[in-house]
Amino acid sequence: MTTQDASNSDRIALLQGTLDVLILRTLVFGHQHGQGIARAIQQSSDDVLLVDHGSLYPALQRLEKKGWIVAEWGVSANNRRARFYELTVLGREQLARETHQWCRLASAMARVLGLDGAETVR
Amino acid sequence: MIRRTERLDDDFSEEVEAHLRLEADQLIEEGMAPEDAMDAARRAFGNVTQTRERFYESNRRMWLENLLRDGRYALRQMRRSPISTATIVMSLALGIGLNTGIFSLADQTLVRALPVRAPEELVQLHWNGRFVGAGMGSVGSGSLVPYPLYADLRQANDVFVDMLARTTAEVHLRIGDRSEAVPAELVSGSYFSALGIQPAHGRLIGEADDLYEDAHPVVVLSYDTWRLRFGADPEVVGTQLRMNDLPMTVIGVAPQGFRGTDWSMAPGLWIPMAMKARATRGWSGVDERRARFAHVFARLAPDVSREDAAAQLQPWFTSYLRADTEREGWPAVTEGQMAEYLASKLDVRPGSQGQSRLQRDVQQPMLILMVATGLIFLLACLNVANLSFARVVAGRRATALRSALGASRWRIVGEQLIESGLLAAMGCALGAALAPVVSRGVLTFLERLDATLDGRMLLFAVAITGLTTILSGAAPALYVASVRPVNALKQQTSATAAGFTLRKTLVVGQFVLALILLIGAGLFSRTLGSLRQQGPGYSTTNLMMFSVQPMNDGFEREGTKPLLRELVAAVESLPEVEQAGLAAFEMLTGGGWNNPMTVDVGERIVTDRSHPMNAVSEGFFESLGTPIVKGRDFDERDHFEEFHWDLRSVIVNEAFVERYLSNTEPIGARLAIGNGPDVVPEIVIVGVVQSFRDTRIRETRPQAFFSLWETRFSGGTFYVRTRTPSEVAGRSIRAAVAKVDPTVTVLSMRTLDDQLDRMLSNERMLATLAGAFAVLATLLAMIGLYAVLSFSAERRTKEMGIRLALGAQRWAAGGLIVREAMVLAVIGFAIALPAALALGRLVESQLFGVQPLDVPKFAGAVAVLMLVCLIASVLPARKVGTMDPLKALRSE
Repeated sequence: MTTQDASNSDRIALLQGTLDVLILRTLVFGHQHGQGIARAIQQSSDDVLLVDHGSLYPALQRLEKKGWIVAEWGVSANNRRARFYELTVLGREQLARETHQWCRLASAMARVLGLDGAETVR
Repeated sequence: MIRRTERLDDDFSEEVEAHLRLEADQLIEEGMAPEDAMDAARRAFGNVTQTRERFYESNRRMWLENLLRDGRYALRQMRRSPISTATIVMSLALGIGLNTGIFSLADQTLVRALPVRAPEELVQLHWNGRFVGAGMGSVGSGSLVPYPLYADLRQANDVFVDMLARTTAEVHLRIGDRSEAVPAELVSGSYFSALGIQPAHGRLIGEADDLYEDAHPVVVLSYDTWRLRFGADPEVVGTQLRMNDLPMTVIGVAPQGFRGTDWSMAPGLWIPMAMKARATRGWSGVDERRARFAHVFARLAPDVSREDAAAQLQPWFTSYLRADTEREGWPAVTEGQMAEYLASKLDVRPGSQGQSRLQRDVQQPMLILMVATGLIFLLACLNVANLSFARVVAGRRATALRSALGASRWRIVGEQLIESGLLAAMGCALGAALAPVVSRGVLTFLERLDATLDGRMLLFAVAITGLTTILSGAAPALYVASVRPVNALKQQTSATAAGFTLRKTLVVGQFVLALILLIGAGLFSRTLGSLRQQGPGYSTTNLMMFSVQPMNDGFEREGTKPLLRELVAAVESLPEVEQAGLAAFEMLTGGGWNNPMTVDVGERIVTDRSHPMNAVSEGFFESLGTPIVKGRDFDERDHFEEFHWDLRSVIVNEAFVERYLSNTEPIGARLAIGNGPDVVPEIVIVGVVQSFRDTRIRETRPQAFFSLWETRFSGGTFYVRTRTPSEVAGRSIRAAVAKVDPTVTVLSMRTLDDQLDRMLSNERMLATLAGAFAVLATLLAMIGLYAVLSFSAERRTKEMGIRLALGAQRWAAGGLIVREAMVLAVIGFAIALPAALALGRLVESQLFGVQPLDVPKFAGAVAVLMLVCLIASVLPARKVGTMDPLKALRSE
């Protein structure tokens, strides 16, 4: 019915545990509210990654509890009240760790699948 | 519980709302129509409610809130189906109550160790071989040994760290102007210290109280005696009381719960062994090697096993035996007897449970009871499973609806578990309340046991039953949760068919158990009936008994003979009394006076075993109503005025004649007590009396009766045939005795019917309890069957509607339900009958006058269950028979 529905088939549902790292990565650029994070992930992945908005919030909740992000109510660009999330020092460290792991995993997968070459992810 | 401020539920909801608005704003910005934007935002978000729930559930207080909510829900469910709730709770309560009650008693009689320090270290010595007494003796293994053996061994061994000896006596205790018979334990000075018992008040008997014969007139009161007879007065320590009319000083009170070394008797007093003569009518015997009355316990030294101890003791014991044969007063024995005596062994047996005559007597009945209780328990569990299943299945549409609305499987199963848990808790509480009632009920048959319940047993029963309930609740819940909601909502029968087979199987199981219990009850009640009907061999109607022990009331031995004669005459002269007789030993107690005999019938016959004997007055047989079939009764020819032991005449019973004198004229034949080679048979058989049963109620045994007035027995039991009912006669008899001498204590006055009942306590217990269990089992099975049939009737509503619409008779439709019940019952019978037969064989030794395969009994039990089947199927069948076919067809 909508544009989103039409392009659903091209999108990849998120793997377990990937959402956390995506949220952390998004917040590197500054504080953001939930809806903004969802949109940002979608846009920065060129609309390939589909974020189920509903599952975003439990993930945010989880990260907050772990102390990787903190939240505060604020006002959005179009003057709506929203809860804004910000990365903590711990969160930054976590992001660095996870990024490193993802690179290792990606290159390992690439090697296994026979895509090993200069252009693949380093 | 909450360490930091939790985010509020509302705050989260607000964030979600904010998200939806922001998303909608953006979609409008991207060109979407404002009226569609909010919907699109919601779609993109997914299940808003679920997200909220997930947030909510991440909260740590969740489980508690769930629990409370489920608890409330469960209670509501229970209120909605009160009958099935009540049935489940009652089944559980019965299962737990019966088990805890019965197993507590079984534990006491069969398993429990004495409440002493390190009971597992205790061993008991048994004399295994031949014992040679004064002119007589016997072969076998016995726990009684001569007291000097204990004294010698205590000095000589290094395998035991401690030893103790004990025996029992019934003494008369005078409190105020009343005198009562109290069981006492006579103990060696080492007794309390070896057992590690501490006094509740004062001090206990020690080595210093057991040094010289008749020099330590002290007693220790049992806690119960102190409480019940002395009003729990601590000042009683140091005071004097009169025991057997002799002064004794109370030195202390034993701790609560300590009941000596024998579970079958609770001593009221402990007396030093050195004072034995005061307790046992002038006879001490502590120096006698030809008499045995002591039970000997010992505590094993560290690192010594029972086998080691026995092996190390044997050389010492053999030399003891050899030395014994060279002692002065060693009786003449045959070579064979000598060899057997010298080959005797001293066995070292486990002693942690103490000495128990009771244990031997009630072991098998207790085991039978335990099996029956176990069966009831199983039945109750089957019932609970069945009814729980019915509840779950009945609620399956509601469950399915909730599942369709998004309730997770675990939530549904969890709720079911809570409900089962609540039911279990209620059942357990009721069961715990019921258990003491059961125990006390059983104790009316086994009066010497202790009614305190075992906490461990309760815990065990609660654990098992709780587990069963929860499992039986969870299994069907899981099953229902696994059924696709859409099928359950459509009420497709296939969804519940599998569960229905299971329930039918449960009902068959119940029928099997109920039938087995019914047959068992039949066998035991028939046994009791046969034994009662047969009786001891004489009429017990209007026959009374009472005992006197004048020496315990302060009489000298020589004075007892005229007193006893006077008492017989006084009782006999009462207008209420038809005839009175006196016997030295009380009858129908299971024990008494037993000895081997030597009979001279031209050849010398030594009886291969001990035979029961008694010493009776003239008039004794007449009082019982047992005719003298040959020869004469005792009369004044068999009297001695002076008081000495000189047996001249004897009356034997027919069983004795049949066994030893069948080929010869019994009257005039001679016999003697004892089996030594120097025994001279010179007691003349003057009469033959009709056999009656005494020490064993199931059989007549060869028996000999001596003239009481030719013995030195100082007391005995009166048997009084009355003309009036016993209550009236009892009062007159007491008055008559008091008139002869007010100091004489009348003991155990009761009717012979009562005495017989006491002897039949095991049989009565089995018959009563098996009967009660069978009724319970039948009820439980009936409820189970009813539940299944109701369910089946409901399930077949549509089918029945079609049948009725097509012209089936109403009774025929109802008959289908009845038939269903009968099929289940018949399957149950087919399994139960062989099982009951096999079990019947196992308990054959407890049966009398009935075969394990008793066709009428079996048929009766089957008929009862068939009737139960009919009753259980009447209501469901009626429902089917009277329904409106149109409505039935319209039902789903």
